[in-house]
Amino acid sequence: MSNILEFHEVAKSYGGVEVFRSIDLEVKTGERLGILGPNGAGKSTLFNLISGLTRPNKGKILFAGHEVGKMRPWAVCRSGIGRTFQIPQPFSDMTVLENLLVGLTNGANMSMREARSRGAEALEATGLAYVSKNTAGELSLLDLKRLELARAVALKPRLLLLDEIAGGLTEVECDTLLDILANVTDSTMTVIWIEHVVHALTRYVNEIAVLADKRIITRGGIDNVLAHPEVRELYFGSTEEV
Amino acid sequence: MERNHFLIQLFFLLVVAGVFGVLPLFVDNGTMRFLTDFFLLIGIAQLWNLLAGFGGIVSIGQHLFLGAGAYAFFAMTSILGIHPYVSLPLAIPFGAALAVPVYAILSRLKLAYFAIGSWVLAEVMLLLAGKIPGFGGGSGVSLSPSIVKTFGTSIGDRMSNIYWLALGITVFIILLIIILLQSRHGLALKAMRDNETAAMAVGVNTVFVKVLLFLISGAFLSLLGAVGTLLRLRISPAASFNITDGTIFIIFIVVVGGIGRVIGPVLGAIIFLVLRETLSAYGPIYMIILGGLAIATMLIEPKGAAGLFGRISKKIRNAG
Ligand SMILES: Nc1ncnc2c1ncn2[C@@H]1O[C@H](COP(=O)(O)OP(=O)(O)OP(=O)(O)O)[C@@H](O)[C@H]1O
Ligand SMILES: [Mg+2]
Repeated sequence: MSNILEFHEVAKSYGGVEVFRSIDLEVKTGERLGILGPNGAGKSTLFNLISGLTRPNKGKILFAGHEVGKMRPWAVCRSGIGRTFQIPQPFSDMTVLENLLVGLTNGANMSMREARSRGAEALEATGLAYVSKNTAGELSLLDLKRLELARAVALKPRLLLLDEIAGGLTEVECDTLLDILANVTDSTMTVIWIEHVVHALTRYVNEIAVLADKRIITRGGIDNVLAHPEVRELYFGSTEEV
Repeated sequence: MERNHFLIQLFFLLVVAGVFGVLPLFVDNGTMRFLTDFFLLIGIAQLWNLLAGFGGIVSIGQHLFLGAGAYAFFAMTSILGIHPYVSLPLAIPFGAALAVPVYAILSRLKLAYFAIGSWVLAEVMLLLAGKIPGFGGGSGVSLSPSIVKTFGTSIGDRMSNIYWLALGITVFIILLIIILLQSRHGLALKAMRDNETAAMAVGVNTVFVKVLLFLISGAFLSLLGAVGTLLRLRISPAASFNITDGTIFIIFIVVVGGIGRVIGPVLGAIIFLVLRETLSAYGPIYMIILGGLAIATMLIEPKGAAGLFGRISKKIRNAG
């Protein structure tokens, strides 16, 4: 299969703070890739680079042949990339449905009528239909996370970027979230999911990449990556078998 | 639901406009002048709110367009001999055209620098206005009696015509904004108001929207500047490019009334005029109270009077 996303020697610094020295990454169409890494490793920065919210200092980011590293965020979205934010970024004074309509009419260029029906569909699928007329600012954390997801998947992106959507959820809420995810993504959608909740992640993704020390320290199948000495050191604080 | 909300707004706007529209038949010139001022304040504040409340563009130099509109109106009528009723609408494309280079310069600056830059540009324009030959230099120049008389031969006629002009233009601006908000672009505007980053990430071309808002704002401020000149009967750098009336009081009105809401500038203008009428005799205290009230609003109820009303009416609805 072909690569839908490629990073070529991407370097990124904020002022004097170096986040990535040189990242190379390939993601195949339809792949579900998990991203692990300690706090501040640059996981969210990786997404901000892909979605055009910040620019690489060096290197290229290619999405389906487009150089998204040079595009503006709305153009990136329209080219087929959807994302959620680690800290929910709702349109607080708009209703939950309107939150989806914004992207559907702007990013997906739909008529109001198409947008309404697609929006209602996405709310149904993410379990938000019951609050569709509520103001987004009044939602609980769980519903805000669902709204992040609904707003992104409503656009039916070819590449979906999920930034810690399971963080802070209870065991049961996590299960629900996984059901929802299975529901709203299909095999044609490529998904990259940043998550600290490893047990949730491993139930969904096929591969994992680990970010640390300004680079990708390892990338591969779940078992191999979790058994990697550096990852064990980072995540479990020791290299001993548990 | 939102459609109904739009129709209610429309209905309300037209009823209020109708009521104010017949008032000149009953009230004296002083009252008309006061209300004309009220309409102009609302119009200017709506445009500032459109920029800052929805577009996230904080300019403290929008009086640049008021002044430029006034000077353009003078140039068209008194120098070029264009009929005043033709010159007025021409102030709209003039303002839009002026907004292009102004935005091109300012858009290179971020946030605080944008605000300061806008103010500096307005000051530069004020100084330039005093230097262009034919416009009376630093002390300005009066509109010729023949131009003034096109708006009515008696003071009463003139005052009612200017009153209707100001009312009509302000109603038109509000209409334009509520139609804009009701359209699909309205979703983009509200989204930008609430969260600019998220708006970009779901496909809103925020740069395009900002340019559009800046052009609309420049265009209609220029028109309002021209109408303001009819009230003052003269142009002068200090009065036409007046930062206090054209920007500072306007920011107060928008902040206290409720930023990012169409009703905000209306409520703000009422509050402002009530304070002005009761306090302006006390000198500096008046300005201190205005400043204090604006800061208190930002701290206690950032959505201003509009937000306060919204909360109260919700409480009543929930209770009932
Ligand atoms: N806009 C910014 N300006 C300056 N520094 C930034 C900015 N965004 C991120 N950083 C810095 O870049 C580094 C990587 O941040 P990032 O948010 O990508 O980490 P992360 O892996 O997502 O962390 P977490 O697990 O806490 O979400 C951090 O040191 C952070 O302080
Ligand atoms: Mg992060």
